[in-house]
Amino acid sequence: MLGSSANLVKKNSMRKLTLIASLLIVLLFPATVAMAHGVESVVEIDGTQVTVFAMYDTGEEMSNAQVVVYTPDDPQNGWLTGVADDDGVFAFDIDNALEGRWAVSIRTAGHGEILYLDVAADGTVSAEAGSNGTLRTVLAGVVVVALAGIAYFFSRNSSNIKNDERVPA
Amino acid sequence: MHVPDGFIPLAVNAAGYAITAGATAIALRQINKKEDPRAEVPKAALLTAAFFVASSIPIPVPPVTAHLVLAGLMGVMLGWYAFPAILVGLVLQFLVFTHGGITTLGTNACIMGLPAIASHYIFQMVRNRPNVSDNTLRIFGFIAGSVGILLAVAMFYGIVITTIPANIDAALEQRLTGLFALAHLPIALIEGVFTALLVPYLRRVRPDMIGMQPALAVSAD
Repeated sequence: MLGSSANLVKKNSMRKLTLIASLLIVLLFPATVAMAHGVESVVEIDGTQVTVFAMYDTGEEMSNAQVVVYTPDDPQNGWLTGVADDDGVFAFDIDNALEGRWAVSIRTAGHGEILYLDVAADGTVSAEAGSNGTLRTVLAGVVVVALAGIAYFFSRNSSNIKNDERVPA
Repeated sequence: MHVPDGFIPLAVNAAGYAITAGATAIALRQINKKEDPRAEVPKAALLTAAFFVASSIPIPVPPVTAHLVLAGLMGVMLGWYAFPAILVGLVLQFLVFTHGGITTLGTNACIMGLPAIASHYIFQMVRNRPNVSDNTLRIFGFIAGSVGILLAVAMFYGIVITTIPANIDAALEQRLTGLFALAHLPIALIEGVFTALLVPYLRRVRPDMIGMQPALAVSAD
């Protein structure tokens, strides 16, 4: 009996702990999403002049990032290779006679991303749209709340099963 | 520490997926052996959320930025549950932040999940000892916490520098990857100290959170 009471206290404290930890993580979350550690470079296009601003999604530049440009017809061998400057800037002239999807690989210390440029039949160069930051933030919030909810749900269910077992006949 | 898509050869990614599948199968079997496999789901879910959030926080260590991994802590607190928890965290990070990759998911899971299992076995050396002292717990907690990230960094470094493509400056990439690895030494210290402080506290208040039995009171005689 004493053991059962101790188990009940333990389960209830586990639920409280789960709830507090869940709330803490959910509250801390907004501060971290703004600082998410990934790569989010920006591309500016002026006719055939392409300027890549290699940066992390904190806005910090990827100094001396290595850039490799691939043509649509040769995705294996680089058409152009180079190194971004200290501000993470790399500029080049794209050959807009080669229609199709070009890839620009930006890399430093094993991290980076691949950007895509589209050259249309008329020679117009455009870049793929970047990710929606607001949507990403909302999705990340949903994930954190969902994980916290799972934790709370399973801690509640576990406690309820133990309570039922102690119901006297 | 997250390798993005397109940066390492597909053969390496295939091996990563194979190892991850095997490790996940072993983890699920170990979890199924427990008396109540669902009992640790709340803890696993919370630590997955903590991993999801913590490894998204950049910590500037000039000239690069690093981030927390929490592999050591997850290994200590979750045991084999840590591997699927980290795998789920990586999937969510890719889907939400495009952090890491899908072709590199197996590789990233190995980089961060296998060190968590190593940390689990390091802490296992003291977990079942009945009256282990707080200082011993602190030492093993520190080792488990820091080894988790040191192993992850070592694996990341090894994979990146052995798969540098021929069309980039290999020397520059090696140098920057080395700097990135060194930048994680302070992070390993932080995680080691944090785990060392947390473990004796949890043993006192909630020993079940780290899979330990409550410490017996020392006789006054």
